[in-house]
Amino acid sequence: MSEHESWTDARLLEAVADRDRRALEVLYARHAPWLVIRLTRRCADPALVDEAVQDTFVAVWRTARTWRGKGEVAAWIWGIGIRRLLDQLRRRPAVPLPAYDQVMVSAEEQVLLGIEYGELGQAMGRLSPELRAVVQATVLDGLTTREAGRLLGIPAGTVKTRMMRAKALLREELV
Amino acid sequence: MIEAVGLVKTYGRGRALDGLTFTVGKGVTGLLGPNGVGKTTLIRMLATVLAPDEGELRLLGRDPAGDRLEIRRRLGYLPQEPGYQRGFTVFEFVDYVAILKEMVERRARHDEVRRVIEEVGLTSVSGKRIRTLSGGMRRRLGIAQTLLGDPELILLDEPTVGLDPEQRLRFRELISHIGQDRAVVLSTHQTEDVAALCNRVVVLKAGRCEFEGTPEEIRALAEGRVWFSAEKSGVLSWRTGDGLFRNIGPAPEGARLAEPTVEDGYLLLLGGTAAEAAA
Amino acid sequence: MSTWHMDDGLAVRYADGELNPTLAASVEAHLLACDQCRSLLAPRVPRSRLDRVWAEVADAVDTPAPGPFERLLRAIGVHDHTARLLGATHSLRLPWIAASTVALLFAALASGETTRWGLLSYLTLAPILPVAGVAVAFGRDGDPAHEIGLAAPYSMFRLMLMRAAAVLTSSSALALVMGLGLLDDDWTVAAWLLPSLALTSLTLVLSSRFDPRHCGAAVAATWLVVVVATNLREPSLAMFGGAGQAGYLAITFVSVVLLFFRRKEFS
Repeated sequence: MSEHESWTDARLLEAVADRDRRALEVLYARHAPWLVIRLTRRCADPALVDEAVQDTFVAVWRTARTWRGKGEVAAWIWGIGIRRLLDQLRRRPAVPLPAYDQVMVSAEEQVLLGIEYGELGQAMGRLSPELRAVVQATVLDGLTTREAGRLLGIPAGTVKTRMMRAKALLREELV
Repeated sequence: MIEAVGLVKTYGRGRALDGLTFTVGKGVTGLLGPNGVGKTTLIRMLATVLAPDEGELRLLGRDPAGDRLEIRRRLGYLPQEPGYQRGFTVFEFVDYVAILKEMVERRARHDEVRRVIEEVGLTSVSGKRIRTLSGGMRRRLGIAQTLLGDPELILLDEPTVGLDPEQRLRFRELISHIGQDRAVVLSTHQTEDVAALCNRVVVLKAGRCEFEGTPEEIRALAEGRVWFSAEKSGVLSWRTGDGLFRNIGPAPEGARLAEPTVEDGYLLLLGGTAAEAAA
Repeated sequence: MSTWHMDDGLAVRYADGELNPTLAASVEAHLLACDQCRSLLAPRVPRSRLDRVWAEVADAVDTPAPGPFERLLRAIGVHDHTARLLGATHSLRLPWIAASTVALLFAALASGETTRWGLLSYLTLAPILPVAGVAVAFGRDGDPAHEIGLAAPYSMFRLMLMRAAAVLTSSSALALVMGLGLLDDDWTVAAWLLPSLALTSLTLVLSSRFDPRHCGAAVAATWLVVVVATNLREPSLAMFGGAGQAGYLAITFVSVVLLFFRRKEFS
C-alpha cells in the first residue's frame, strides 16, 4: 500500500478522481500542513481553519474530476482552501482579523524577498498595511474583489479603491 | 470454541449430517470434504442460522438454542455465496452489516468499518461501488465484514473458490493473519488450502467426521502407500507427466515409494468415491 | 523554478507567523511550487490536530450520501442506522416508487372513465403494490446480505416488519394522494386500504415458510383471479362493500396473530 507515497501529486489527484481513498490520504498528508499554516495567517481562529481544511479535502474528493491536469496541484488546493475559509468566515462573522503588523525586515530577508518578487516585493514592503493586505488578497491569494472584501472584512468597493491606490503607488516605486 | 457431539440434520429423506462429532479450538481449522457432503449445512449450523435436529452443540461455551444472540455478537460469518448490494460502495456495505451487528453509535461504527477495511487491504477502493470490484477484492470484502467487532469465532464457507493462484496466495496470507488470535473455521474441498493454512483439519464423509487432526497427520496416513510404477496398479492411480503411474494404496513389495502429500492422505480417507471425483 | 529554498529557521518563523507580510507572501508563492519546502512545514503542525481533521475528512468522504427516502426518514426522526437499513430496500428506492406511481396513475386515469371497471382496476391495483414491495424487501432474493444478516444479532423479524411497514406506508400514501387527487372524493377512494393490509399481512405469514417472492406472486395472483371471477358478469364494487371490508379485517387480524406465533421462523 506504500506505493501511493511515491506517486506525484498529479497522479494522486487522478487516482482520487477514480475514488481511490488511499490517494486522498496521501494527498492530505502532503498538503494539509502547509494549508493549515497558510490559512492561519489569514484567520487566527484555529477552529475555523480546521473546518476550512476539512471542507477543502472533502471538496478535493468530490471535485478531483474537474482538475484539468495543468499547473500545480498545490495551487489548485489553495484555491479551494481559501474559498472554504471564506465560507467559514461568512457563516461566523465575528472573527479576529488577520494581524498585519509591521515587522522589521532584516537585510538578509530583503535579499530573499527579491528572489520571488524582485523589486515588486520590496515595493510592496513599503505599502501601508491596509493597501498591502488588499494586494495580498487579490494578487497573491487569487481572490476576487468581493472575496477579498469578505476576507478582510471591508466592502468590495473599498477593496477596489485601495487596489487602485496600491497600483498607483507601486507604479511610482517601480518606474 | 466449538464442541459438537452427534450432530444430525435431515433434509427430506437425505441426512446432511449423521452423528457428527468434533471440536475446534483457536487457530485455523479446515472442514475438508467433497462437494455435497454437508459442509455448508455444518457451517450454517455453527453460524446459528440452522439448528441441529439432534445432538449437542456448544459455541463459545454457550448453547446456541438459548444464547443465540450472545453467540452472534461474537461471531463473524461469510456465507458461500454472499450477496452484495452491488450499487453500494465498499464502505456502505460494511457499514450496513455493522448496523446489523448492533453497532448503533455512528462515529464508533464508522471507525470500526474503516478499521476492518484497512485490515483486509481495501482502503484504496473503499469509495468504489461493489460492482466495479474484482472477484478477489469481493472476497476480501466478505472477510472484512466478518471482522467487525473483533469476533472470537470466524466462519468462512468455501472462501477460496473461484480465486486465481495469485489471489489465492494473498487470500491465504490474510486468513492466516486473522487466525492468529481467534478461531477461524473454513470449509473447503481443496487440500492445498488445508496444507497451506490450517493447523487442524476435520474431514467430513457422508455426514460424519472421518478424521480429526493436523494436516501432517493426514499426510502421514499415506506414508509408505504412495508409489510410482510403469503399469496402472493400486487403489487410486493416474499417469503423471513423465509417463509413470502414481499409485495410492497398499504398496507392493519393493515398489518405488513417493513422498506423500496431504491430498494423498485425504484421498485414502475418502476411498473410491473421491478417486472418481479427482480423476 | 528558483533554486532558492527555505531553511528550517525560516520555516519555523513562517509557521509561527513571525515573518513580515511581504516576506511571507514570497514564501507562500514559493511553497505552491516546491514540495521540498512544503514538507519542511509538516512538523510545524501538531500530529494530533492533523489526525483530528483527517478523521473528519475520512468520515465525510466515506459516509454515503443518503437517498431521498432515507433523508425523509431522518427528517421525521428515524435513527440514522434504522434509516440506512430501510433505505437499502429495493422497494423503498426511487425507481420502485416511480414505477408504482406510474402504475397507479394509469389505473386512476382509467377510472376517470365512468365505467365500473375503471374504479375497480384502481382498487384492485392499489393493494397489489404493497404486496409486491414487501415481497422483494427481504428474504434470500430480496436482500442480498440476507444470509449474513441471519447470523447477525439484529432481529431479522424486526427488520422485516420495519420494511413491511415502510413499504405499506409509502404505497398507501401514494395511493391515497392519487385517489384524492384524481378520483371522486367519496369513501371508495380508500376502499383499497383494508385489502392492502390483508394481502400484505398474508404475504408476510406465508413468507415464514416459503420464499417471499413466491408468496407475493401467489397472493397477488389469487387476488386478481378473485376480483376478475366475481366481477366477470357484471362489474360491481360489492367486493369493497361492508361485508368485504369486514372480511379483509378478519384476514388481517388472523395473519397478524399467526405472524406473531411464527416470528421465530424469520431468524
